[in-house]
Amino acid sequence: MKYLPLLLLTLFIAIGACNSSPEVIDDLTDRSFELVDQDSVEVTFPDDYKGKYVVMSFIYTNCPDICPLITQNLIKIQKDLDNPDVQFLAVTFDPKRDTPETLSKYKSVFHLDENFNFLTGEEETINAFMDSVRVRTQVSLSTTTQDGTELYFLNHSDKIMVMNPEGKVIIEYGGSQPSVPKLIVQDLNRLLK
Amino acid sequence: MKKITLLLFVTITAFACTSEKKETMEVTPVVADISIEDGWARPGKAGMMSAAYFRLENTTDIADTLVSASSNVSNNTQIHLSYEKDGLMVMEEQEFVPVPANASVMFKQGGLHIMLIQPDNDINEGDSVAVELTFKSGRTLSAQVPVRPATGMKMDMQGH
Repeated sequence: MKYLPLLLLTLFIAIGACNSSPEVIDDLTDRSFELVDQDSVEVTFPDDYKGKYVVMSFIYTNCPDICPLITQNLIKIQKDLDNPDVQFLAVTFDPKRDTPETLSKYKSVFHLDENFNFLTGEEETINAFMDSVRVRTQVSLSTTTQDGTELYFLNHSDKIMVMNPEGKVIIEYGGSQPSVPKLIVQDLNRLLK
Repeated sequence: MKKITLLLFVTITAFACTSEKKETMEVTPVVADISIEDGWARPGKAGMMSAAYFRLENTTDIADTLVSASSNVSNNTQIHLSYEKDGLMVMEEQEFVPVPANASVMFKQGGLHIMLIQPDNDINEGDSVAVELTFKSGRTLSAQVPVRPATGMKMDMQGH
């Protein structure tokens, strides 16, 4: 009888382990965002990606340091995962400058395939999209270049997320951290079993 | 008297020789000997952004301070530092970067970097970028750094 609490605790832990499914971080199933990719192909997010896992990050192409690092992490995940059924997306939070043409140039620098796309959209849509995934930005530095154009940089959230086939975000890590690709590959391999 | 004069001459000569030797031994460089090691630059498109990274190696007992950078690919080359603050990744231009004596300073992804703003032409893999650094001492240091994709190696990312 004195072991009853211990037995109950063990039972609870066992039940919990059996029912362990990833916690939903952001439920995007009832959301709909009209976006375009780097080839100006229209995309409805998340509907167009339902049925597959999506690994996504948030970048802007005038970012000289952190965003290429985030993009490299996505590339490493794609390479190590080696699963063509997983979609990779990088969504810009700077739609004013990141037109499809600019995103296409940015993509060409990294030699990426058709499973790795960059998305942009109308400013209002992008703002709503970033709110839905809790990505924050703020203008940091702003200067005028020699040709008189305004050049600004953005402080921004740093994350990589995984959305499940239903449209629910279930994994979120720091986007530029060097340890992140390995963790996401481990998580996805477990989920894809 | 001759003996005293001779002794004095020998003593003065010996002292002079000793002093000269001592001065020679204490000579040290007046400017730090700093080199650029393991440099590389990220590929980029004309009018967009790129960055250069390297390790500054100071092998002398003299500290110096990096005060500006220039390159042959962009008229607007700046020194910046990326770091996390209040949950956001932020970037700040650096007016100077101390290079302590007998120390190395890493310019790496997610940290210090040389920002190559809106390069005039595409920066392609296999090219090289000329980087010139100016120090507070007045010394300038130049290096050609190869253009290559980030390898994701530990050195590229460490300390982030």
